[in-house]
Amino acid sequence: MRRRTARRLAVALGILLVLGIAARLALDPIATWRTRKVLAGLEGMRGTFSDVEIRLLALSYVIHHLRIVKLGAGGEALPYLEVERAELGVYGKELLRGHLVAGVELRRPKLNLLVGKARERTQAAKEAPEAGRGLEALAPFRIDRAEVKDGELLWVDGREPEKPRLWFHGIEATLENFATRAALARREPTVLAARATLQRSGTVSVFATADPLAKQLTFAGQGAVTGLRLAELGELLDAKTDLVPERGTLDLYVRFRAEDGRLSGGVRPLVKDAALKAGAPDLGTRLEAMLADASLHLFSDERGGKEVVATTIPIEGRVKGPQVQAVPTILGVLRNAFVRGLAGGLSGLPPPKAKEKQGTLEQARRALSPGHGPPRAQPKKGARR
Amino acid sequence: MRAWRALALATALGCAAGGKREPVRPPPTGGAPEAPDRPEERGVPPRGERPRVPASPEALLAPGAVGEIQDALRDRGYLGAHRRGELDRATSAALRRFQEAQGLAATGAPDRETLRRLHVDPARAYGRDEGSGGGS
Repeated sequence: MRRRTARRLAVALGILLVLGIAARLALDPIATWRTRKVLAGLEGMRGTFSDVEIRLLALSYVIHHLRIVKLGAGGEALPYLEVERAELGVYGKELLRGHLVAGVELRRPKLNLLVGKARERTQAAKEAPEAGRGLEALAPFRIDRAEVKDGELLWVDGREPEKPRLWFHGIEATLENFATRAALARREPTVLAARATLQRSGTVSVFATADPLAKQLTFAGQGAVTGLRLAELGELLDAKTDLVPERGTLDLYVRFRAEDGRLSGGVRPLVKDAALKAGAPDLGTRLEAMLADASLHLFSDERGGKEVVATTIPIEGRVKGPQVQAVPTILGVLRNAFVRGLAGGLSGLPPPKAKEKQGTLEQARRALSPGHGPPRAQPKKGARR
Repeated sequence: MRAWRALALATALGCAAGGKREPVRPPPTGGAPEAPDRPEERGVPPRGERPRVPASPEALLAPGAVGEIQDALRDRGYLGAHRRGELDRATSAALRRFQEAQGLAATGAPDRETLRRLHVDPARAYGRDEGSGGGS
């Protein structure tokens, strides 16, 4: 009796094992077919990959060498998105707690943005959601966490003959709480944290949180670029201004907040030990360079033997079209030419708001008077503080 | 059947004996934040059931959580000299080193998965009492 039971058990286990192996062997081709189908459905883009892998024990699905090319713009030479390895998986520990939470990890993704003269020659950041939707369609579950390791972002201005570029690399980023029930139940915001290198010398860090279900955009955060050598922006500045920085470094700090679609915040660039020269040889550009250089020297403060120019640029407006206020910006540059209390870092951001809207002359009088603080952000007409 | 029983018993004994145990840390105490929030870091305060939306990682964490994170990093040998209770450069760099070692994105920020691997309870680390300074 016992032997018969044992034999039946062994046969049942054997059948299950065979079925399991067959299912496992069938999974990869099915996944490959499905991935190809989803990528074929991307609008205006073509997607390819080298391999797809299902990992049952890790509850994940891996795409190797994913490549999305925008038809007509960068083309094969400059694909819109390349990812060495994209893994979509379920978090086992959250599953044990009864929450179906999925994550995506992108290893060595590279996003190439190209500003072209014509729209069809442009690869813009706003098209990234189309590629993202494609990836998300491959996941059987809602994604709650995304991770980027060793990423790159290249922005090229194809409108200029020099084709200046900004290169972010070594990007490490996490994005959590995409409004799954688990996160909402915990009353936690969506959180973005990122760190990268800009050009060769700049260190970039960003932190932001958002309420994903607010009726209007609601988010807050801060960012910084530190230690960026101005010479590494030479191509860009030369293309846009015909001025080339000979030396100097840039630190940039920003803090922002948007509530019910209203954006406020401040940007503080700190330019240290800067000097400029003319990029083009004509007299007008040389004079412009001399004046710019003179103003940097004349209007700077000596701190530790280095000249530093700083200002706080207020940001106010609706998030659809935030306006950097020009008048306070210009006055801020002049005023901070005699920087007394140079405050590096994030303290003092965002700048305080004026109680009432001030006219241009009043802003000038206050900004240039020694007794008053930095320029204040101006309230909207009719708005109360 | 006896062999299976013996294996199960051995496994249970092994679990009970345990390997290296994580030190038991008392939960963070309430009261004022270790490094008082600067008003500009508080971001958008919560309204009703909506989450708060802070502008900095320090403002996201509950009182005492930074210290707990620093203890966990120090116990694992990632953190040396630092300013207690502040997410200073040393703490952020230690977090990055830990994240790299764990194969996580090395942002230097205390995200949920990083806290879990440090054996710091994320629910407690993020769970602020809104009455004690979580909003502006």
